[in-house]
Amino acid sequence: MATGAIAISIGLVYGQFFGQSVESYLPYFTASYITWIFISSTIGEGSTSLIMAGHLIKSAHLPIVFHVLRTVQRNLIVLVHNTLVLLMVWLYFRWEIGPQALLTVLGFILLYFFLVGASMVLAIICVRYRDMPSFIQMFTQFLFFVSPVIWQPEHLRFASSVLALNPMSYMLIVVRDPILGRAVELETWLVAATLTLITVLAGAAFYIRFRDRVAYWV
Amino acid sequence: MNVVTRIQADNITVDIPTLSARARSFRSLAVAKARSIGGRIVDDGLHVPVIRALDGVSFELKEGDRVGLIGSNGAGKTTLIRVLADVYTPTAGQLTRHGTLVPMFDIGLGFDTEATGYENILLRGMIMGLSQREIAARTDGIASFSELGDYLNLPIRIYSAGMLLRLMFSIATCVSGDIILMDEWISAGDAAFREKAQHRMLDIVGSAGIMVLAAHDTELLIQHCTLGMRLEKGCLVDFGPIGDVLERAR
Repeated sequence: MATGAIAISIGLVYGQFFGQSVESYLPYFTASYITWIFISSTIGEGSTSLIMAGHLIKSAHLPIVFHVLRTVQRNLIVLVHNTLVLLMVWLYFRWEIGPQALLTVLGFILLYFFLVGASMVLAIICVRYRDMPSFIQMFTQFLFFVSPVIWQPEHLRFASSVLALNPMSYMLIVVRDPILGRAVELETWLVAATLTLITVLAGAAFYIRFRDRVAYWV
Repeated sequence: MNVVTRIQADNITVDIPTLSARARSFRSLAVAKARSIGGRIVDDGLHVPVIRALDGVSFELKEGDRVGLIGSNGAGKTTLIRVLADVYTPTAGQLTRHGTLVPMFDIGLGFDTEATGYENILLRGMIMGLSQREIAARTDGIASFSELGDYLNLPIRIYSAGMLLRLMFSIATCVSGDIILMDEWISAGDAAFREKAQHRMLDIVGSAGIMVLAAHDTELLIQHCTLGMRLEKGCLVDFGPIGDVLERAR
């Protein structure tokens, strides 16, 4: 509900601010916003997941990836609820959804694995260095402003350089754009897939290297 | 497939880092690294002192051994239990273990106070490493043993402390296995339930191959254990029949 209220009110106000029609901006913002909420809350909660599970880690022999996955899964459930807001917006505006919208699923699979990998790495860093969570939170907020959530890449004169430097924008675009009927360039897909691969490998490397140490750090 | 239950510990050493606030701070680390070009700082607070919680502990336990783990507070009893339960990976040394593990310590962790009794059975069961099907098969047994009836459909935050203990106990004791690990003997509830609980514990302990129990209560140890193991400052100082070990510990 809260997500819906925020998405629709900001969608209505900022659309005018950017001088855009409601029927093009509101769906854009709604799709961006619910995807972004999923990204930022998974990163935020994922990075503290091992700290939160401290007692359990010290008392039960569970693979530590369990605690991380549990957090990602919880955020996934929230995302599914939030998708209803997008569905309502679609029922009102009825933009065209073709078969290419199915690419959203592919994009989402990439994003999911990206977030699992990233959460794993961040959770281990955060359990060792306890001042990292606040830094990550601040950085995620910063990413919100440099990612195409509120604004659209077409409206920036130097958009390409902002986008190119911000990995999160690729992950956002591959999930969001197909369902809005916007074309996604092959290059964006390749970058998103590469980022996912690197992040998953980093997550696996951190997991293997540090899983036995985590019980001593919590 | 009848492997004899066995635990063998060779020279197990566990170092637990005692991380100070500074050692836990990434900022301190970054600042210290950046400063490395300047003068030497004698104590940068980043050096992590370690506590040697277990120091070269070796022993062998066979099928049928009931071990009472004794020692003063901080002697390493809980650490040893955690090593046996795979929570701590030893810093050095080797642990060989044959047999299924039943950890029965910290049985109250992992509960969600907002969730119902039944939901918590599922949650806690998964933390104990059971599959959803195994939990489903045991749920009725847990429900009837706890005697909580319709309360199991209500969130556990409204339970009394005794009711909550009944639930925790019933879940923790729904499994049996070869190696029982206990940090203090577990029991729960009012007089009638206590008796039933005691029976169940004796059943589980009786059917297990090996039991390791950390406790302070001499009578309890004599009643349930055959062997005694005394730890002192992380070292295994005495190992033998429980009566003798308790006698020497005096």
